[in-house]
Amino acid sequence: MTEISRRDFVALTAAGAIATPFLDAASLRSAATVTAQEIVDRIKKNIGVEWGNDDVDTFKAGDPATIVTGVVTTSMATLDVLQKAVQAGANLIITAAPTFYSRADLSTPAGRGFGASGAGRGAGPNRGGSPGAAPVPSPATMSGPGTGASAPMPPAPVLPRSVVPPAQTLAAVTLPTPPPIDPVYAGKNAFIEKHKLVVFRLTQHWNQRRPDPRAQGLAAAMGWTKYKTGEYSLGYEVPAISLEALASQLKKTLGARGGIRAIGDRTMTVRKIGLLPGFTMIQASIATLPNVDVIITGEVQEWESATYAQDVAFAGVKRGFISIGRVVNEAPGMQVCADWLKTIVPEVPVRFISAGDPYWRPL
Amino acid sequence: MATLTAGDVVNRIKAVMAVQGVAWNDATTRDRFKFGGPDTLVTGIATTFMGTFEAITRASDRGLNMIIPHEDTYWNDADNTVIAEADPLVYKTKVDFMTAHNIVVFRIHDHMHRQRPDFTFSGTAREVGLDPSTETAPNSHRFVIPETTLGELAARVKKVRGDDAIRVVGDPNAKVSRIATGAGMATPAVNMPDIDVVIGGEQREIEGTFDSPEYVMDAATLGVAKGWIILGHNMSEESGMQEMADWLRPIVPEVKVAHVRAGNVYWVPK
Repeated sequence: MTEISRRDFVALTAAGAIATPFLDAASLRSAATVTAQEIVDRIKKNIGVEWGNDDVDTFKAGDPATIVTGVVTTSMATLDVLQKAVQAGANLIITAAPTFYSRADLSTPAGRGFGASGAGRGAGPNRGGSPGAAPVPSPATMSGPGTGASAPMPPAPVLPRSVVPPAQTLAAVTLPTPPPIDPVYAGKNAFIEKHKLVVFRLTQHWNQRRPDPRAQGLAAAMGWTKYKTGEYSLGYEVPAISLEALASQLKKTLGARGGIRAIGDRTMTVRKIGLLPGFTMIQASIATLPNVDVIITGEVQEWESATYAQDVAFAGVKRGFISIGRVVNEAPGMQVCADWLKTIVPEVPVRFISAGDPYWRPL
Repeated sequence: MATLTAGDVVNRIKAVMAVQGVAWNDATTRDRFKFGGPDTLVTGIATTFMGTFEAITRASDRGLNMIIPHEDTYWNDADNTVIAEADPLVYKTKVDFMTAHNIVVFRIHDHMHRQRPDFTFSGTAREVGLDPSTETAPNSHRFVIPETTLGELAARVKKVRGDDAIRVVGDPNAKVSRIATGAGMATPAVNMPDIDVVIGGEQREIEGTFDSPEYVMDAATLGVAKGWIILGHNMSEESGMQEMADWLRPIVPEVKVAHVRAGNVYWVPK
C-alpha cells in the first residue's frame, strides 16, 4: 500500500473538520491529537465484531496514553518493521503476529530472569512512566492482568525488578542477579523504549471480519476480486492457469521468498481457487479441496493437510495445495486494515509496512 | 515356511522394547493397528515416515504388506477415519487399495521416541550430514562444527538432503558453529544462549510457545548470530525409519524388512 501523502493527510483532516462543523477552535485543536488508547477505542467501536476480553488483541508495549504521530500496520512487528515505522514518523504499530516471540507475547523471556513470567505482560520494562516513577496501571488493565498464560502476580520482592523501567542503554539492563540477558529481547525493548513506541496486536477480531480481510487483500493483490464466487471472499474462479504458474505468480505478487511451498501436479489446470487464510486444520482442508482445484492457505500441520494433499495427488486426483506462510498470509489483511484505519483515524498518517517473508532457501 | 502374522511382529516389538527398557504403554492411541489386524499374514515389512498412499503403494509393489509408519495414515494424529471420510473419493481409493493388497498398518511413534537413541534424532543428524556419534553428549542432539556461515551450512544441508523445500531464517552471513537438532515438531527453541543454529523438522511459524522465526529475524537486525533451518517434518524424521528397519530386521528374520520413503511432500515455485 502507499504511504499516505501530505496532501491526503490535509484532505482527511479537512474532511474531518467538515464533518464536525460546529466544534470550536479548542475542540479542533484537541481533535488534531489522538492517543493510542483513543485509536484502539475507535477500533473496538467500529470493527463490527463484538470485542471479547481475550489477552491476544491487547497492548504489547508502550504507554497507551502516548500521543500518536502516525500509525503503521504490519503482519509482524519485527525490529526491522519498528525501525521502518520510526523512519516513517510513526509511533503506533498495529501488528497481526506477536511482538515478543510467542502467543503469550511477554516482553521478557519466560522463565529466564525478570522474575515471574507473568510480569512481562502487564509491566514489562518498556511500559510507560519515567525511570523511578510508580508503574502506570492502565496498560495492565488493558491487557488483562492475571489472564491467559500469565502467572499470578509475582510476589513483592520480584515485582519491582520487572516493573521499574531500566535505564536506556543495553548495558544498564543487566540485573544484579546473574541470569543471562537475552540480547534479542533486550535490543527490541531498548528500541521500543528509546523511541517511545506503542505496539498493539490486532488479529483475532480483525480476522473475524467478513469478508475475511486476508482473503480480500490477497484477492485484491492478485487481481482476483472480479472473479469472486464464494462467500466471504474465500472462493474465486479465475482464467485457467497451471498450478506451477499460479504458485509463481503468488510468490512474485506477495513478495514471498522461501516460505511458499506447493503440492500436486505442477501442470494441472487451476480455475477454482479456495482461500483458507491463516492456520488451517485438516477438517477445513478436507471440507474445501474436493470442491476446488487448489487451496491456498497460510500454514498447516504437515501430518494433516500436507499429507492429505500428497495422497490426493498420488491418487491421481487433479487438485493442488499451496502454503504461502503465516506472516506472508497476514500481510494483505493488514494492508486492508491500514486502509480501514485511515477512515477512522483521520488525524495522523496510516500506512502498511511489510515484514516480508521470514524464510529463504539455500541455493 | 513358517507363517508370520502381524500380531507376532507386534508382540516381538513389544518384547524387545521391554528388554531394552521401553515398557509398552497399552494406553497409547498412536502405536496401534490402523488397518488390518494381528491375524494378517505378513509377507514383508516396510518402515516409513508416514502412512501415505505413496508409501503403501511402493511397499506393496515390493511385496511388503506390513507397513510400520512413524506418523498417521488418515491425515490426522488420532487416525480418526471419520475425518478422512469427508473426502470419500480419496479415502475410499486408499482403503480399497489396502484391502485389495492385504495391507496391515501398525504405527510406531510414542515408543520409538522413548528409545535411546531416539532414531528420529540420529536420523535427522545423518540426514543433514552430521555424524550422530559426534554429539556433544549422548542424546544431547547438539553438535559443534567448525565455524561457518549460516548460508554455507544451509547450502550444505540442502545438498546432503537433496530436497528443495528447505526453509531458512536468519542472516546468511551469520557466523555459526553450535547446532541443536530437532526431529519433527520437537524442534528446539532458538533462543538458547549457547546455540547458534537450530535444525529442525516443523514448528509453528507464529503463535507457538516460542516463535523462532521472528526471534531470528530480530537477531539478524541486531547482529546476533542465530539461524533456523527447517527441513520439514517428513524430511527430519524419514531417515530415522531406516534405523527402525535395521532395528526390526533381526527380530523378524522370516521376512524382508525395508525402509520405503513416504515421498517428497512439497515442491517450490520459481
